[in-house]
Amino acid sequence: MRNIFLLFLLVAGCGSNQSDALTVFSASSLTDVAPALLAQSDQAGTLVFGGSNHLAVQIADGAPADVLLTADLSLLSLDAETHHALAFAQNHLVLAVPIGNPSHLTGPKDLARPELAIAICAKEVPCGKATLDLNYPIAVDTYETSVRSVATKLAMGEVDLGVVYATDTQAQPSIETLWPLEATCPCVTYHAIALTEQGVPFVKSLGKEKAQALLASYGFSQP
Amino acid sequence: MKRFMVSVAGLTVALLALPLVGLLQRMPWSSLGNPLTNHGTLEALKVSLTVSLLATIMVFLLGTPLAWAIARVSVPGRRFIRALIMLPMVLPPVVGGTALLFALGRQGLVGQWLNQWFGITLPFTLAGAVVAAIFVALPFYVIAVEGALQSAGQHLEDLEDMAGTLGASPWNVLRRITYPQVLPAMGAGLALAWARALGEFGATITFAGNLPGRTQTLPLATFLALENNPEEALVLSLILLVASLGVLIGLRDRWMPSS
Repeated sequence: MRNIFLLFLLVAGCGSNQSDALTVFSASSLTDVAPALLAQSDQAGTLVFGGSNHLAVQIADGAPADVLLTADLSLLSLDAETHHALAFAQNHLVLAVPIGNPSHLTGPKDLARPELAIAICAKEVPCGKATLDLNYPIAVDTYETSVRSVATKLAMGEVDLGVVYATDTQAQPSIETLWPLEATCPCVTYHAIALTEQGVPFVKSLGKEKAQALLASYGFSQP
Repeated sequence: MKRFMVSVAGLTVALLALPLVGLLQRMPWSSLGNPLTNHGTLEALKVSLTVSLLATIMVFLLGTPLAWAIARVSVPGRRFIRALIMLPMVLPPVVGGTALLFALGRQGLVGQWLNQWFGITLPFTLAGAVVAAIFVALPFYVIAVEGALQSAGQHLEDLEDMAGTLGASPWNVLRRITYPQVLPAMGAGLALAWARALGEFGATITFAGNLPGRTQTLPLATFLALENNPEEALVLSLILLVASLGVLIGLRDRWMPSS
């Protein structure tokens, strides 16, 4: 009996936070760049990825994060100034096609063609909200639950046209941007928030040149 | 010893019951009707019923000969075939959906020919959702029927032989002797398969996508509702919970061995 009790303690102990390393909660659309951002700050840490909305709920429930990198600041009700909130990157929506544009599409008017297989994000996730702001009629075939799965379906050639972030076409070699080629809005602004004192240096490092150059190389624009 | 076993058992039951209690305790009982009359909920319910019933019919048509064959015909590698049939029961459904996409997707192994020769595309269609449901539900039926054939064993085969020697044709033997013996297992298998098809999520969202009115089933609607309308998600969960419990309670009385 006592052994089982000890086992429970051990399992419970695995959930607790180690105090010296940084815990960074990050929007999943930053999956590729976030490890590099952490590395350039010279801080050891753990990255936890998830949808911005899920992360906000977890933080409200008291998840032990030092820093949050979010695609939607409005999801959190906290004072931006005391938490050193910093808008550190921007991402805009693009229409993307499988590499080589096999269906010979030209632009936004193709979104309304019902014979094409078209994937966009569900309105419940940030990229879907931004897609609604495009204000184009879209003959949708599937509302995906994350921008990553839209990109994957494009890369597999299962859909002809999709709406993703500019950074997704850069990260995924089998898809390309159809339109627009210049950064423009509707767009998503990423904010970094320090949730503990320990997180402040990392948040500040994101505003500096080194981090900004890194972000640009991954296809993010400056806010 | 007994006290220890019983107390751990009690804890385990509590662990299983706790999430259900949590769900019921937050249920908006007074406004239960709102999401239920919601157009989106009704649409998801309709898609779910259509998909799960079509899948159950297909499971019956495809699974019955399969169960008979693996119970009665000894072919080399029968154990491997049985493992293959059971695989979807333990495979994460998302993996199943991905595999279906690579096999039957527009660019898939077989899917590209379906597309080229017959103009059939399965992803993002109701038929695709049915295929995903068949994939995960089939083993529940096949295992139930095969098990019944096995446990009826030699006795049943003797009866079949007897009927044969008395002049009954093989199809007649199947219909008059074999089926009545395994009918309860077929019913139980179909009910379990239907419940599994109704609850299918991972393979559906991966392979069939998510479009209200076409491929958005109740579990998909529940998952998305959780993002911004937890109350609706709770009510949708209740529908699925009641359906699953209904199947299990129905099975307990008629088909499950009672102690």
